[in-house]
Amino acid sequence: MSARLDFAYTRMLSDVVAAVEPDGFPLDVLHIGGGFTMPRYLVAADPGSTNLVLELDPALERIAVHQLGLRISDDLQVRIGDAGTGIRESGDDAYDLVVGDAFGGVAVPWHLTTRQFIEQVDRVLRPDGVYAINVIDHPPMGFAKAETATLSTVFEHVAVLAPAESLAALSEAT
Amino acid sequence: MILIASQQPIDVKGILLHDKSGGGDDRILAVGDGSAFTAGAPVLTDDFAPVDQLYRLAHSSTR
Repeated sequence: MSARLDFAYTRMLSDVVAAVEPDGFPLDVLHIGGGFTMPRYLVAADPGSTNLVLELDPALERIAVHQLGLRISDDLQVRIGDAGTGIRESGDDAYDLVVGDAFGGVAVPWHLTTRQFIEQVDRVLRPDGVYAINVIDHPPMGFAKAETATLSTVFEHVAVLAPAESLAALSEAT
Repeated sequence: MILIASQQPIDVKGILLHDKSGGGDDRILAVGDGSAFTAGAPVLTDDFAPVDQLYRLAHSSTR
């Protein structure tokens, strides 16, 4: 299966994936939210990777399976339910990468942004694991700044990956 | 935009090296301690979830 990503944010996520494991060693990945693009990409581009998707809306999985050709397999599993509670069912140090891609409209659901949730992400990540979360914001970038500050209370290292014009807007908003 | 967090140093060079997004080298910002970017930004916690705040308002209005 070939792997192609059209949206800019998915290409940015793929850059993060490649940096997490530059040698292509299969990754264990937890997906917060079921857009299914990144799970399918990883199955195609990183054979042997395991992907667990926590998705709230069962209709999204049905559409993905019946209309978009999503194949559920040992390497791509879906658990329907709230990710805020679903992540608590995962063991410690279980994942190399957690991908946050959950939205209600254009906003990340509040309870998936908080320090308490991020502590759960840290718990399920291996010591060298990476959390990559997709966010949408506009000047004055209040949410992006707050979520970055919140990530910084849990993780030692935080970075923002965005188009240069968005980073300029972030700097201007400070 | 993508926010990246880890307990280990983030491989910024590695991310830029792959560059499938085609954004060039000026598209990543490492956030260090005391960063102006996050200065004054609130930390988001469950204590201030909007639903909780609404319940508190409702509760206080009944007193």
